[in-house]
Amino acid sequence: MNLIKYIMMLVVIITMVNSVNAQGPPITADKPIMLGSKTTVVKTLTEIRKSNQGTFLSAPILLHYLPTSNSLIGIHVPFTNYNFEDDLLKDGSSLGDISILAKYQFYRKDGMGKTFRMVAKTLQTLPTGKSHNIDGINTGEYQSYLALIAGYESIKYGISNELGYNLIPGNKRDELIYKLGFGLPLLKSTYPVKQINLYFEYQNKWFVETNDFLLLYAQGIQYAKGRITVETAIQFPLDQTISEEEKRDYSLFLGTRFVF
Amino acid sequence: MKSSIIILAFSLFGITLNSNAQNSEIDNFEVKVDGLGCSFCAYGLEKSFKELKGIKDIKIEMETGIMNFTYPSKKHLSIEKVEAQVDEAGYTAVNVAITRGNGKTEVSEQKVMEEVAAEEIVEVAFFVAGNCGMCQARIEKAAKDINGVLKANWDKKTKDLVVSFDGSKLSQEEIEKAVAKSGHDTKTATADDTIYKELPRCCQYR
Repeated sequence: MNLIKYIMMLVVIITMVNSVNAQGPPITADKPIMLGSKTTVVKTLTEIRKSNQGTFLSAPILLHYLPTSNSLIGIHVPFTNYNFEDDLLKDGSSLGDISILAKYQFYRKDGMGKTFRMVAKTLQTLPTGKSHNIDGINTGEYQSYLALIAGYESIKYGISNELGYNLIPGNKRDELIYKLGFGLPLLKSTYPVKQINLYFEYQNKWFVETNDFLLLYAQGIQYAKGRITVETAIQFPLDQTISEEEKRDYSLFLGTRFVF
Repeated sequence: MKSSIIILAFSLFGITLNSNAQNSEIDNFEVKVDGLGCSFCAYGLEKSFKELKGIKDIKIEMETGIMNFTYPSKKHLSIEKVEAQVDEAGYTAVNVAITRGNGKTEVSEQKVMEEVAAEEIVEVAFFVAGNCGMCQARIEKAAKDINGVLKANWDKKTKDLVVSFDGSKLSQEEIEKAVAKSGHDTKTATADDTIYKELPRCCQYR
């Protein structure tokens, strides 16, 4: 019932907004490659997650480089802090799981003020973090993620879809992931950049081996001026069929981006 | 007093000559680009063109996808190079128009015209409803997307679309239908209501 309520709210918000503007990149979802070749982006996206397990912080530095206009490579180096509810587990801070990202855009269809693009993506996560089994933050496991992204970007709105599979050979937590994001600008489109964008992003995770399920919704706002972007989002579960210990309350995201 | 006035007159004349000389050293470019779905896209496009040393006065209009810039005449930047630079940035160059410092103009569609026999080229003008610069870009694009159309220019004031096309391949009626499909009425073809209502508010002319 709650899920239907949220979907209806989303539909109302989308139909109420009727402006012709350009929006920026999503916050928790991903998007096709939109910047030109030889561009470097330095980003942070700090997550503070509150769950039954405890309170965790992940503060990664993300470095992305576009060698060509249709390819991207990147590295994500996270700093993590963890406070467990269980007193038997030791709190602390450490380097999290480092990830290496590669994307290749294989389809592009451009129109006036709009474009549709498709991208193949892989994210290889190295077991550099502690083995705390904190999904997406500190697992201490090697992970291999393959996905397809399809995105429609226009000066009116943006829609991004991502469907992928995360293979974790070390344990029974393989995930089938689907992300859906909508971006809506609040200001008139200008260049140089000066905008405020609203984001509505859904993330589904199906843990295929245990049949657990997680549906998350993130509401975000983003301010971009020139080459700098600042953003924040709150993410909470709409549905979680997982162990009691792993159930989430909410996550708070704070991010910045700088484009060279 | 008299000599001061003469000196001033010569100085002003000299400044004017110098300004004209500088203008003749600068080429002006107007490029229509498809795929600019976000403001950060425009950043990527500008960055790509800034690799061309000497480029100045870059302006990008998000709503029409038109980029303007100036470039030194002596370096002679060609239409092909501009199109390649847009492609390298990850977008599509629809049309390139260059006004050279010596007054000559070059337009990317001219090259296509040269391939069509002169006796086959037909030029017509007809009414197309619209309001603004975005309408102009949309109308001209709808016409130019048709295989066989060589040139299309829509005047905001008169609402006339002047089209040059290969008369052996298509007719004015087909062009009017294609323009109407983009949301703009002509005298013989009416835009579908659903498509018309999707136009931005500033473009709605009914």
